[in-house]
Amino acid sequence: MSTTALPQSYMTNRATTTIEWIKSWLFTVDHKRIAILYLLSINFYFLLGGMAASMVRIELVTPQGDLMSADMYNRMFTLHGVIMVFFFLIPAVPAVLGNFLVPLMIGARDLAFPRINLLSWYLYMGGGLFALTAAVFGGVDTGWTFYTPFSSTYSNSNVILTITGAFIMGFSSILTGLNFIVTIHKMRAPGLTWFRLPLFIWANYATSLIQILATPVLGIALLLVMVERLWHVGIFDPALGGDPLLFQHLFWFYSHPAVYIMILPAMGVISELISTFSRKRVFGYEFIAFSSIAIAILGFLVWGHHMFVSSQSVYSGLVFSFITMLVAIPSAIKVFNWTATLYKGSISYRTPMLYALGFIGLFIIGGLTGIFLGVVAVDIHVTDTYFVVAHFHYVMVGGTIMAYLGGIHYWWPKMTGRMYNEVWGTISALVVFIGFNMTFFPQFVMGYLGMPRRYHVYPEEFQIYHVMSTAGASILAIGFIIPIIYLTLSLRYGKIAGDNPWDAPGLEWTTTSPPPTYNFEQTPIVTEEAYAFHPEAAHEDAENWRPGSPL
Amino acid sequence: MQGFPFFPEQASTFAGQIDLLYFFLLAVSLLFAGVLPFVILYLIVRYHRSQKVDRSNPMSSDLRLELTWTIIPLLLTMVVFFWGAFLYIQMRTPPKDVIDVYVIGKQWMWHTQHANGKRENNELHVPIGQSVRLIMTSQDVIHSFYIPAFRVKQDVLPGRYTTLWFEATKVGDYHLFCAEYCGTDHAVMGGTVTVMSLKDYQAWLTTPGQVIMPDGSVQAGQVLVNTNSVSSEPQVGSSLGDPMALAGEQLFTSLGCSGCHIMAGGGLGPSLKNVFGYDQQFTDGSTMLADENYVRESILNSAAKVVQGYQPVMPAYQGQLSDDQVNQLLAYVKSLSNRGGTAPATVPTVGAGATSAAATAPAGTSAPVATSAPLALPTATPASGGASGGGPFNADLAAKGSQLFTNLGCIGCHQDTGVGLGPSLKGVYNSTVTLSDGSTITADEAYIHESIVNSTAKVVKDYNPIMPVYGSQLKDAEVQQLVEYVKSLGSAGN
Amino acid sequence: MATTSHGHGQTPGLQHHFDTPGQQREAATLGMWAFLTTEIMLFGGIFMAYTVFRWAYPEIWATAATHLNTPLAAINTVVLLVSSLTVALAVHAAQEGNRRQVVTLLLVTMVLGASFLGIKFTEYGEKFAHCAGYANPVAWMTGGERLAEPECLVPGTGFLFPAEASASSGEAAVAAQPGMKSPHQLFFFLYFCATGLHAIHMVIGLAVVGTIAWMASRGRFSPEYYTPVEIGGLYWHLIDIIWVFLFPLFYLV
Repeated sequence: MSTTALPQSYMTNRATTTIEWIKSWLFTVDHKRIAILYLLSINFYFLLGGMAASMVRIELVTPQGDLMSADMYNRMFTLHGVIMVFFFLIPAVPAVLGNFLVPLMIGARDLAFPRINLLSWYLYMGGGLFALTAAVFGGVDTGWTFYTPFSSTYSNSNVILTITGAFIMGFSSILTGLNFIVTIHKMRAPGLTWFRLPLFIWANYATSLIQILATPVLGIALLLVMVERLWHVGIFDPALGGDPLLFQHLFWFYSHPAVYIMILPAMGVISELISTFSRKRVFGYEFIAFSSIAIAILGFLVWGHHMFVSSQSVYSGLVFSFITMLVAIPSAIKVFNWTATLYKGSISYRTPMLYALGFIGLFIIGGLTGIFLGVVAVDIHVTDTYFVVAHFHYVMVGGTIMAYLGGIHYWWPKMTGRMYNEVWGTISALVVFIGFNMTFFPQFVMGYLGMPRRYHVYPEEFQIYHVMSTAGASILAIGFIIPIIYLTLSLRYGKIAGDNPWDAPGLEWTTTSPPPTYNFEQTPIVTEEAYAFHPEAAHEDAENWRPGSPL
Repeated sequence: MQGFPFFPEQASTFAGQIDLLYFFLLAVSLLFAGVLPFVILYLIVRYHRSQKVDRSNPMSSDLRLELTWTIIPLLLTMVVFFWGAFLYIQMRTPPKDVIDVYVIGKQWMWHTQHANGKRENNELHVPIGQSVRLIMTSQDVIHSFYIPAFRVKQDVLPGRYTTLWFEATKVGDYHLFCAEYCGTDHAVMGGTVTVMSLKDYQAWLTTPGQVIMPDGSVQAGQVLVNTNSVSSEPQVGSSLGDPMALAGEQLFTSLGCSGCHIMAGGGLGPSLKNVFGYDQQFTDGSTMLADENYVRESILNSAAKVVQGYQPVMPAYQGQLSDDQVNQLLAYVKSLSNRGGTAPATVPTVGAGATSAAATAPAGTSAPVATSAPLALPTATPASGGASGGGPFNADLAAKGSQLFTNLGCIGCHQDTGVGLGPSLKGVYNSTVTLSDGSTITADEAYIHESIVNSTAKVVKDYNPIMPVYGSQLKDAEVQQLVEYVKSLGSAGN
Repeated sequence: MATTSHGHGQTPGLQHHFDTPGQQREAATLGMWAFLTTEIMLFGGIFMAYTVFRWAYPEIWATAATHLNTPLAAINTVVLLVSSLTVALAVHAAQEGNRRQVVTLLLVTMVLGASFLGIKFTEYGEKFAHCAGYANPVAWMTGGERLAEPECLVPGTGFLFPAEASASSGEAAVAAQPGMKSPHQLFFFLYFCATGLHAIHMVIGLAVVGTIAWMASRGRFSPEYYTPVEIGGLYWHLIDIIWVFLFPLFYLV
């Protein structure tokens, strides 16, 4: 409720009529406005996917299928998976935070191809429309993995519509990646060398490589499923001479790297948050930067670990298992470096930092259980059970969503020019963390006991764990709703943030909040490395702390 | 399984080993997940901005530290990798003497067939302490055969075989799940795996039952006498007494395969003797081991790999044979090779004197030499010859029947002296027989016919219902021959 | 963008968010290369499927390939290689600012591209005419010469591979495999998929080259600014290179 007004910015409304105002948003080529468009649409899909998840969890409270029919349940978990993976997790951090921040962080006026950037958003919306249409007209029951020959021959649901949606969304993702790569290569401010780049940029660069290399393979795989469904050509159905495993190979060649599309930019966000709220340069900058690239490269070589029980040969099983072990190392390096960053820092418990710490906690569990799954002998028992479900939720929800929320909170003042309510922020971070663990930890136990995934009825002995999980999910849901409320309220009632409320280094904090349309009055000239905290910064921060200052 | 179970039962030789590796992983995880969060908690409390502590000379990089936390996790992952790899290779290498069970998955049920022809749906009975290998295929989409208590799982694919082996170590009933999402009723596609003692298993194996075939038709379960008693010498390859192989042979003949695949060689197609388990050379010069999938492909799509020296003239049977029939042909081809795996003679022997019904199947009972195995329920009833009063019989047929009576091994139980496991048939025809439910019946032609094709329908008092159901194994003409033979016993003696 | 000016409005074609024309050109070129990588991965999926099935059915692959029209495809290969040359020359001409030459060379490229598609169309037409029972597309339209031996290489229920049909007259009484049951149709399915996807790229390529030729004729380019000619040329070369892979893989197995 500040009396000072926000400065002229990209958000400033020059339009005189509503139509003009809408047009000014829908035809914008400003990366910041496009990021806001993404923010709104991605959160819409998140809520939708979340509702489907709630239905699934409520159904599973009892061992009998008493809430929904089997078909209804299958459509629900498929809707949850398709929406969350393709329309939330993959675009979340790159399309919202990346779009907003990449040009700001490298001192550019925009992405290299602003119109292509807008096209990406329209493709995303178009793909989403197809998926929504499919859901409205009866849904799809193949699971988000679209395994053949079930999807190509046997399913009686809207497979083609959904696949078209995912296919179009893929192009949106490719174009975003392409834009980032060119921007990071060619648009950096003078003096901003590669090793002066913030780690968020490194992470997005690695992500973009995956996006442009892997997504087209998914595109062709989905296209082939579509063709097989339409013309009954036997490419995947063995009854027609095809090979059902070919689809799995093509699919996971994309979808495993896609996991890193989700988690790498999230890791980039965490590096920023840990550094700022420790008032220290990130420990082992080069190691974190190169571990991102290593994950991106190794990520292309491990798709077979999704297929250990699919009848692949013993040799390929061992090779994929071995490389999977190697992927664990760069992830571990990041965690250790973040921990070391805290040492001798001046740590403050602001909301973004709480989310970041939560991320590390959940990612440790998600990453370690990934090793369980990478060991073939153990994977044979736990694959396709709730153990896998729990594992990838720890990585994707515990990882990506925690980082996404942390990043939104951290850059919220930059994006909107206003601060949110810190107390509610703290509460939300804690509720999400607790709710998340309550939801997914029991699933590890249940999975090792042998509870297969995608079951709407199950033997009674698993009920206790399902009940715990559903109870946790309701807490988690509250944790997600709270930020929506106070962040929305902050738009009107929040304090004016000022250019640099966190006293953070980084080019994005040197311009006004919210930034002007062309980001910088003058193209900045960079003379320092990233996270250029003064060696005494942590010490001074602690010296200046007085009771009553923010924790 | 009330309360809070944390670990599933261990009921196979793999279970303990995998759990051990799992516990090791848990321990390593606790080392990280248990310690690292506390390190972080300590750091964020100690270095909170409100704490006045020494913050001088903060490092921003240290190569020794980086190497430490690169190399230690690397070593740990290598340990679990090699440990896991060792176990995995073991899990994928079945021992030589295994009991083969054929499994067909379809939306949304499992159909299994044992080597002696016994069929089950959504159930699998296995003996304890014996290696069992499942040879699995799917009729439609991808399924996955999962037994948590055994820690084994294998996807079941349409159009090819996948295999899975285990050795059960604990008697009991365990969950069988489909683990790969397969459509509407995925969640109920499963059932029970029953681990039995050797004795119970053998009894079970020789007990008839009704089974719904993968195509939906109902069939009486084929039951055969104890097959292990035949061979005094060690057997290589499935014997022809193995009903699956037998059914395969009949199919082989009726499809006309035997016209080209002449066993002595010289046919249009290669001889199938000693093909399975041996390397085959193809027209393009490449070679490949003839395994289950090779045989399957050669039947369904022969043109894919043509054996050197032969023309690709064999029709493709894709779409013309059911998975069930391909399984039988495969069993037959395996039986022709000395590398076809051990005979079902591995069905364990139970010591003499055991009281179980099957165990008392007399030694010397040979495998049935049925020459036909119609897959449908027997429907024809024999034309009644208007027999009466120990009436006349067809001597010709009776002579053939006598032969069959010996060959099938009926004579082993139905001994004239009346001390056999089955009643003496002397003078039975047209006599009055007391049944186990106390009722009486005149042993007319229809009764004798029924007793042969479906012996369990009416069991004679004081006898157990242990006789195999021959309905699906004998031709009508053969049943008629047996009936005439029994008639001859009845009228000739009195 | 027209509303903004950052003081470098004089440089033709320079967008507001770039500092120098060099930066803009490099960005556009790099963007195109990244896009080409994506395209190669797209075709990579099909090549992967091709590899899997060729490995599974080597002999079927060998016999199926003999039923494609190799002479027509060879002519097409030459046509495309020449078109690549003309595009390269057009880029060179643009570098030198020779407007007339750029337009001429691009038009020649378009003619070559169109003839490629025409030949491709003839090849497809032949296959479809065979399915309808006619010897060639012309006969199909005029109701002329019938096909002597039934053949249909278009994947679908009518698919009939002639080698199997002829074998059926042999002693072994081989049942011909009409429709989808034959693995031969996998080869032709991949053939239509790969060449069809390539043809779609060709159509897009024609539109791109046409637009650039139009821009060139309007004098939009200069030795300082000819990025569209350059990246359009890159795209054309990619189409060419993909064909250079498709040709031996499908026609010369």
